[in-house]
Amino acid sequence: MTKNLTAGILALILGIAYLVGTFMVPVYEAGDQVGPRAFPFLVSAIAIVSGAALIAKDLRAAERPAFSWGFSANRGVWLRILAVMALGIVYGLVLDWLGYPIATFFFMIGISELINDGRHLQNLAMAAIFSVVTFVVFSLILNLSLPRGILGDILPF
Amino acid sequence: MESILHNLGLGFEVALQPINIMWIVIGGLLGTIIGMLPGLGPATGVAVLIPLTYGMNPATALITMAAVYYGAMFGGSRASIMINTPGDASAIVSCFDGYPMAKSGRAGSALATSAIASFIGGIVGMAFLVFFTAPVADLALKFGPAEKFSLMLFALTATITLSEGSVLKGFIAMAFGFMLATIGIDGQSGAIRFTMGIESLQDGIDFLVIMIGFYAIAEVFKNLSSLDVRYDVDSKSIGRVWMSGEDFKRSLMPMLRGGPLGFFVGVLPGAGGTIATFLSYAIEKSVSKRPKEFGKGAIEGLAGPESANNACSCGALVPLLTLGIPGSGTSAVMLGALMMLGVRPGPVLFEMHPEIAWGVIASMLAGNIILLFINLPLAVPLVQLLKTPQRIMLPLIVGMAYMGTYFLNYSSFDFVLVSISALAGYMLSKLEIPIPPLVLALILGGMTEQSFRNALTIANGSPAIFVTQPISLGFLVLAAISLVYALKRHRKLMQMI
Repeated sequence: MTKNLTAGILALILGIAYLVGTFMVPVYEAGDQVGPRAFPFLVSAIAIVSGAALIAKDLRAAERPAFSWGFSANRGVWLRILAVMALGIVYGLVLDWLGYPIATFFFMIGISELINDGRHLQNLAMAAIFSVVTFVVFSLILNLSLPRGILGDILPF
Repeated sequence: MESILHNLGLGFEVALQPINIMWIVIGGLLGTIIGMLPGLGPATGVAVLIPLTYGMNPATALITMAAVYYGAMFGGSRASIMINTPGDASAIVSCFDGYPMAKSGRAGSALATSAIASFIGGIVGMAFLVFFTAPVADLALKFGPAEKFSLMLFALTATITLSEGSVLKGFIAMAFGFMLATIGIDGQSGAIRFTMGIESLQDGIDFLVIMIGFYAIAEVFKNLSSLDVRYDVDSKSIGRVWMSGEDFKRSLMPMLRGGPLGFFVGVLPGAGGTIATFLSYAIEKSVSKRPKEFGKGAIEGLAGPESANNACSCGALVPLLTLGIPGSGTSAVMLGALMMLGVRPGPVLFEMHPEIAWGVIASMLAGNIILLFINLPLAVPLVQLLKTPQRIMLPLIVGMAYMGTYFLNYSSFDFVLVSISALAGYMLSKLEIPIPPLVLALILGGMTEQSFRNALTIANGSPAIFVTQPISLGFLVLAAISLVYALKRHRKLMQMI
């Protein structure tokens, strides 16, 4: 599998899926005469034609260097990526409940431990400084609304 | 002429307000720092620093983002000169002669040349910006749906053909961008499209969420494989950060040539600093009396591209401010942030909010002067930041990115979207599918479809309207020319260098 072939197949799959989705778009009597399907049809055509052309170009190429996502060779990087994503999603879920300062503190500890692993004190300090400084700057100086969560009325400002 | 001076006066009234001066300094300094860090360019800088602009009025927000933008342009070459690692793609050319100058003990001169050339490029670019924006905005007011559609088609095609990489992959990226743009309720018919039953998608996807994923978090993912890279910066060998008389004499013409060149390249959608700097380098080498010195520390090879690079960032603001079409990834992020503040850049901006449009233009003069004063005396301490370990910088960028996402809509669903888009951005970059066409299609998708449908409705369904309107036809011809040009570009440019 080469890079171009992978990209071409991806475009083809997404293009076809989008085309199927386009047929499922309801068309109402109201609205403009062109309708909500015309533009998506064009878009799916661009994706399918470009994907197919890229595949054809790749299959005809004299040199076809192999492409790998590096899931095993760069296992550490991929695991870190997935962990950052998971932490980000959990951060979003608990932010309102825990409040910005606490949720951000734990989120930053998690992210720092993933990227700056082994330096616990440094990470602790960085997480604390980041959550306090950004809370002060955005909530108190720039007057943006940030959730206080379980800290609620405890905060003196 | 009189109206330009009047508008510029209004702009200076806004730009020189103490609060705006303060944000120019902060934005410029932060932009310089982010632009300087290897792998992080101006788009990342603006994306990460978006939260700073949330509480601001639109004029101050745009002035701050512009300061971050050209601050990053000033800073981008620091890493090129000192460690032969460009801060972003447009600073690659600065490695060619900047690094050899530093290696031969002329680091101070190279840093000064870079700062002064960036300053001159910025001033030249700003002067052109003053004279070009109003006429282009006036012309754009006359565009109907057919012209708007063809203009956007040209902008997208130019972005694909002028961006680096394969044209086919550019079209694939554009299709992906349109796919994302069509998710949600169709404004013209009320039909719900491509939401897959997810209620949170009915209002469509906030493209700033996608851009923060692509330009901030995905950039962090790319750097995860080089966490332990350490850059050895010997600040003692930099010497005095200043240009000698001879250096200035040799650099002046390249700087003056680079400015207009960079500006006009910047105006083209998608062309950006990389093309401007390579072209400037090629021109300087071809007109030089000492072409053999190029690549070995020729000051002209640093001065011209540095000037072109900064002027390019001014040029990129022309389509953004006058047409509402971002000319680069960075201006796309700026457009998104402005729309969130309720301002839609475009021709109407100059009529409805002249203080914003002219305020940002005037702020660029003040900003370039401030940045020159930041970059000359602070060159040595700023360069020390290159020693900051990636392990410290990257978590901070991730933190800022997620925080910025939260401020957009206060929605936990956006955290899912930003995480997925970061992964998608990383995977697309692995496949060498260019991001700018995707981002531009995502931003312009709604408008492109609306213009397309309105034009066809006016013409009773006949697509001939796109070729019978002269301006529309002109844009379509330009789109075709840019496609033909793309086929020959890379080979020619490489030969020139």
